[in-house]
Amino acid sequence: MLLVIFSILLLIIGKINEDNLKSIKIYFTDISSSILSIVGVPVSSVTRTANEINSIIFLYAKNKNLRQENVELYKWKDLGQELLIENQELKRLLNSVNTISEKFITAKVIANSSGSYIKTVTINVGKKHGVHIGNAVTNNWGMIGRIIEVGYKVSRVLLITDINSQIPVYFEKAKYKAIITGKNSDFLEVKYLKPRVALLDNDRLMTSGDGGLLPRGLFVGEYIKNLNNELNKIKILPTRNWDRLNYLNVILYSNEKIKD
Amino acid sequence: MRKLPFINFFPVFTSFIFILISTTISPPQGYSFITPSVSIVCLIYWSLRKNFLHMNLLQTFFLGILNDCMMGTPIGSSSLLFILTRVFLLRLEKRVFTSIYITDIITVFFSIIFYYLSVYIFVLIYFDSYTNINFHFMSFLLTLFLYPIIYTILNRLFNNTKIEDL
Repeated sequence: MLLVIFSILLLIIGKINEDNLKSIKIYFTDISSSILSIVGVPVSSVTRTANEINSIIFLYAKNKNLRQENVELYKWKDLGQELLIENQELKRLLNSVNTISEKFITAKVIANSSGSYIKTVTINVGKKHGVHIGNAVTNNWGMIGRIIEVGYKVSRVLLITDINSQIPVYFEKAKYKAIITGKNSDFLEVKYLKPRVALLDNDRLMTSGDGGLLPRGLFVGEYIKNLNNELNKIKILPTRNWDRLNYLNVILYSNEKIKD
Repeated sequence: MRKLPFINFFPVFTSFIFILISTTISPPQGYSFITPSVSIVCLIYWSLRKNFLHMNLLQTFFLGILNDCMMGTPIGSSSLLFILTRVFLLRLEKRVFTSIYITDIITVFFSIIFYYLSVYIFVLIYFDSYTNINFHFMSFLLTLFLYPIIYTILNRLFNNTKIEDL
């Protein structure tokens, strides 16, 4: 009974002010990171071998898909180059500045804590490398999470699909602002979107930068009309390969007003 | 024979090693990052043991704290859920009167169900949100299937090293 009360007390303390117990967690994560990197060596080599065998099995199908994708990408490459030049010229005319920080650091995932009510990963960069709480974490396709705990050498990333994840976003074409939350599933859900709005198919959701914690303009997910058959729910497809985590980029964005 | 002083920590230590190993394995792609709960499997295994080497309440609490630090869950949450599951497990075990194997199977099955129900209720209360039930159920099934594997590994470990004689 005493232990149950003590556990509840710890939970209440953590709920009132998360920082009270965070330092213990960070300290523990820092210590365990070295053990994890040793334990992870054989496991990652087994995983790598399994992935290689898997890729050999699907070599033919993959090659066929890549050829098709390549043809498509060539079209987009030309268009992209044209748009890039046009964009640069327009920005110059408007005297605009790039809002996305180009400073980033590449990190390796050393542990993943995926349970039924938590979805976080631990990466091998920390305060030592200039990482701050709130920094956006991306893969090659877009944002997959943000830093919630920073140790000296390691950090913990809260994935966008976690139920605690809430990201201010805007629809790229429709321009509506909203918050997207995780549901511990393969989809994200839109919250606080004003009623009676017409959403466009394949509209991308980008970080709005509201609150100053995240940079503006990071791709988070995509609205697909076919996925949304329910009336009161708006499902969003998260960034491609959000659950295939090996190497990630941490965008070293720091707002002067927000301190760790 | 005099027992080694650290022998009582063996349940927590092995459970911690299993949690460590499980965190380094990447979940398969396309299953929403779902993995089984290794910690609850270890807890049930050690709680069901009848000899001197089993997990007591204090160790359960300690394992919960370790699990929280390792997984990043709110500190105290795993301890609370583990203690409740352990109490449920022992009470259930006392009420089931069949052969030892059947009792174990029933206890394990219902304890895992109890744990996952508690987790769902905990998420509703603490986070004021709800998780996707399908993926929650999938995690439960994975945990259920993992139990025989960990049970076999730990039993083998015991039989080979004869740790009870230490």
